[in-house]
Amino acid sequence: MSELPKELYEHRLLVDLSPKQKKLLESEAYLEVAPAGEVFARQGEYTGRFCIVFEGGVGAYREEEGVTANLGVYGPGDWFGEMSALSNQPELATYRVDVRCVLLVIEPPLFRQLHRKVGKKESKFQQLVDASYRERSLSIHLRVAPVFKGLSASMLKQLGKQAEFIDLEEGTVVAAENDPAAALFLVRSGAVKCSKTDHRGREIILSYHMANSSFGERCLTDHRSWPGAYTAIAPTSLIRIPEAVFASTLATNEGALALLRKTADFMVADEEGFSASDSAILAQRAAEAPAASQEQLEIMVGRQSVKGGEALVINLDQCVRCNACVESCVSVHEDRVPRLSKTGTRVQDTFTLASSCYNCEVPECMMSCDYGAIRRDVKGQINFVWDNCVGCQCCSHSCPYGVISMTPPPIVPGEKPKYKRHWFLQTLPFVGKYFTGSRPAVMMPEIKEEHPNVGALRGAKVQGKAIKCDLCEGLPFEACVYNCPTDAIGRENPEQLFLSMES
Amino acid sequence: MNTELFKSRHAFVAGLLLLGFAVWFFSTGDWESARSFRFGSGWTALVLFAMVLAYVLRKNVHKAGISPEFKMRVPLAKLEKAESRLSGLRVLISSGKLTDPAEIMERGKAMLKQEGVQRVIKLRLLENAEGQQILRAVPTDPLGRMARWMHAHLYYGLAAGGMVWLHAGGMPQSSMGYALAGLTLVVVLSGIGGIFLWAVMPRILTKAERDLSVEKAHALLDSLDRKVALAYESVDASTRAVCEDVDKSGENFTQRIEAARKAAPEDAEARRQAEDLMALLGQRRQVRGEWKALMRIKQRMHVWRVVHLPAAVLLSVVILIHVVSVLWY
Ligand code: SF4
Ligand code: SF4
Ligand code: SF4
Repeated sequence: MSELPKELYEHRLLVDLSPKQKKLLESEAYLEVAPAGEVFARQGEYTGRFCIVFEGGVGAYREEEGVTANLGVYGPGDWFGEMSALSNQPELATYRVDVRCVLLVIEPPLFRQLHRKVGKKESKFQQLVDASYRERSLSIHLRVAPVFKGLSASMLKQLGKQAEFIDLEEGTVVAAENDPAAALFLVRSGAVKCSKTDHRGREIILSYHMANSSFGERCLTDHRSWPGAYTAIAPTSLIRIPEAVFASTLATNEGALALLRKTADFMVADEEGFSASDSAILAQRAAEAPAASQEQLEIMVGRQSVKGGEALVINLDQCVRCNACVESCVSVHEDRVPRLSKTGTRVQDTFTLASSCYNCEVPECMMSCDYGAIRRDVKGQINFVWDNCVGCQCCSHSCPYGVISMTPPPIVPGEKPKYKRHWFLQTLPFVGKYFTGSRPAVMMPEIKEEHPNVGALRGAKVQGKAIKCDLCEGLPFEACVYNCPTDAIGRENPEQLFLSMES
Repeated sequence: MNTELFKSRHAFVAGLLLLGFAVWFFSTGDWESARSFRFGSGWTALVLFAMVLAYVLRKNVHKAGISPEFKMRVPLAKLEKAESRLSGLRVLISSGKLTDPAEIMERGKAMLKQEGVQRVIKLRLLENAEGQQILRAVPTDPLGRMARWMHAHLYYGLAAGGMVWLHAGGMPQSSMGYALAGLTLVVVLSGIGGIFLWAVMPRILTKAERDLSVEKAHALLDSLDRKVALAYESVDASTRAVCEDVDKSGENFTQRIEAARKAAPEDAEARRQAEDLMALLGQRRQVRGEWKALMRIKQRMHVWRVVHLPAAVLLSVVILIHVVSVLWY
């Protein structure tokens, strides 16, 4: 436990924390002294760490087309990291210490505990962090949006002042088919699908719009009606800029307006399939896929896993059903429990998306865990911190793909696994199956008494610990792929898989 | 048909080796006195058999968790540090500051080395659809994928069969020779059969599995078993006896279950429970039927192993006896 000074609570973010939040902060946050030049987080990395600066200064730098842009300097009293922590997206900038500094570091699970209402009203932490998130993310989103390429920083600032933030529930319709397009939308997080209904009443998906993309450029062109209905397929945050704002803001700069319209023209042509964009082809494949695969694809797009992770795909025409993949997954894990199941969604009869983790961009498992037992590493992989897992099963219930399972609880706590005595017999052909009787045993998790949510577990039937595919953590191979005798199983980006399929 | 099974450079090496020995064999006039040929072909056959066995060894050593690559495991923190440094490099690549592929790879490799993870991950520089360079870290797969070992097993096995035939001069001279040649023939032929089945059957099974896969049928049967057990608990003894009898005797299932349904108890609740149980039994029977049909195809795909495995074990023993006796005498 790190010793935090009492003056800490005078910081404007922390003035009205509840006693429970203070207790958590004292047990889980830590002070870090960082020398000049130290990098806190790199652009493109997943960290989710939130920092409050108490002394010194940290700069945010973004690499764009060969130029390093300084996005801001954070001095005493400032904070950074809320964009990644709130959006689950990789860092948009590199945070480097400019002047030796003292920081309070708050890891993602604690951040989620602090970023909550106190009683019925929003805490200062929530209000101020949300405000800075809106301001900073808006400026970066406008900067990186392809449609605004070529506009100066001052013009973007002007546009930003009149932009609107919208948070949508899953299923909300953003725009209806054939209605006049009157605004441009930037997707900050979540996903939106564009679909129309054909003459047989079947839904045809035209495109998907995921985080950091945009739609509605047509409001700046002659194609002014929406080609389909735009619906949020996951909890989604959008930035809305009404068409009128462009005309008024850029009224004095005809060149900029013309450039904007030209870019918009290209993008609309792309959306309408003139240049067969990936998202259009993907949508077409989805429409051709069987209903179950279509549904799976939609969930995957919605959760951003299509963009986030690679799925384990089995080519069924090559798979000889020898089970070597599952057996080798067993062999690399101490608890002898496989993380892989060959059941999964069939895609166009030939492929199965095996049930293993997709390392989603919006990992619902991680969001649901209050014990800090699930974390994302810098490359985006979702890992378990077993020491923190209390076996409450919240993650396994919240994973949309059902890939998290729980190890069985031990027969006698502390008992050594029995399987070790049998491992050789289990490997024998034909007769091996008769030696699989002994259950793998794991230690019963120790519930941390000081955790405020521990009460929720009282009386609950605690299972062992949560497990899922860990990509064979730390090993130089992915055992399932490595040991398949026919190369039937491999990692594929589901998006690429759909794209590569013959129609 | 899965043609991937046949695309291998091991096929080329094995073919070349066999061709070389065949030329040597036919150019040797008197096989009886050609000691160097017999010596050469014998040892080569032995090496080929060893390579064939290496596949089996590799497979089982890995399964048992004692393969040498397990010792290469590095802590996650090290990997994360390396990944973090690589993301810095990726930023330079995507922003266009670093474009030379050789320099990218050199800098990336140096990072992996400095972090001590170069034996666990290696780098690949790919291009995406827009022509941008993408730096990916992938596992090193130190011993090579099992699929490559499978190719080696297959083609060196075939070559070993040919080599045994050449070694025996086309016709075995002794009972040991007959045993060796005979067993080799059985092992090679069953292996060829196996490869053919592995190439053709997955597609047949995939087609048959369109509605229900083996794994799903298995899971469904598990759940139906549990439901049936619960349903049995809720019916009275006489209904249970009738249902058990109907379920056990496989014949005329539909008619018998229909008769049992008609004879179900008068009491509405008891009747509903009995009918639920009968419906579950019907479902289970149907799923079991489908599962059995799929399992039959699956078993057919692996039937060759019944001959291949025992014959291969026997062949290994006979080879060992042959080598020891030749060296001894
Ligand atoms: S190891 Fe390969 S061939 Fe065997 S069941 Fe798994 S995917 Fe199929
Ligand atoms: S466990 Fe489930 S929710 Fe979590 S990252 Fe993996 S697939 Fe996504
Ligand atoms: S990558 Fe490793 S942990 Fe994940 S399913 Fe494959 S063998 Fe199991």
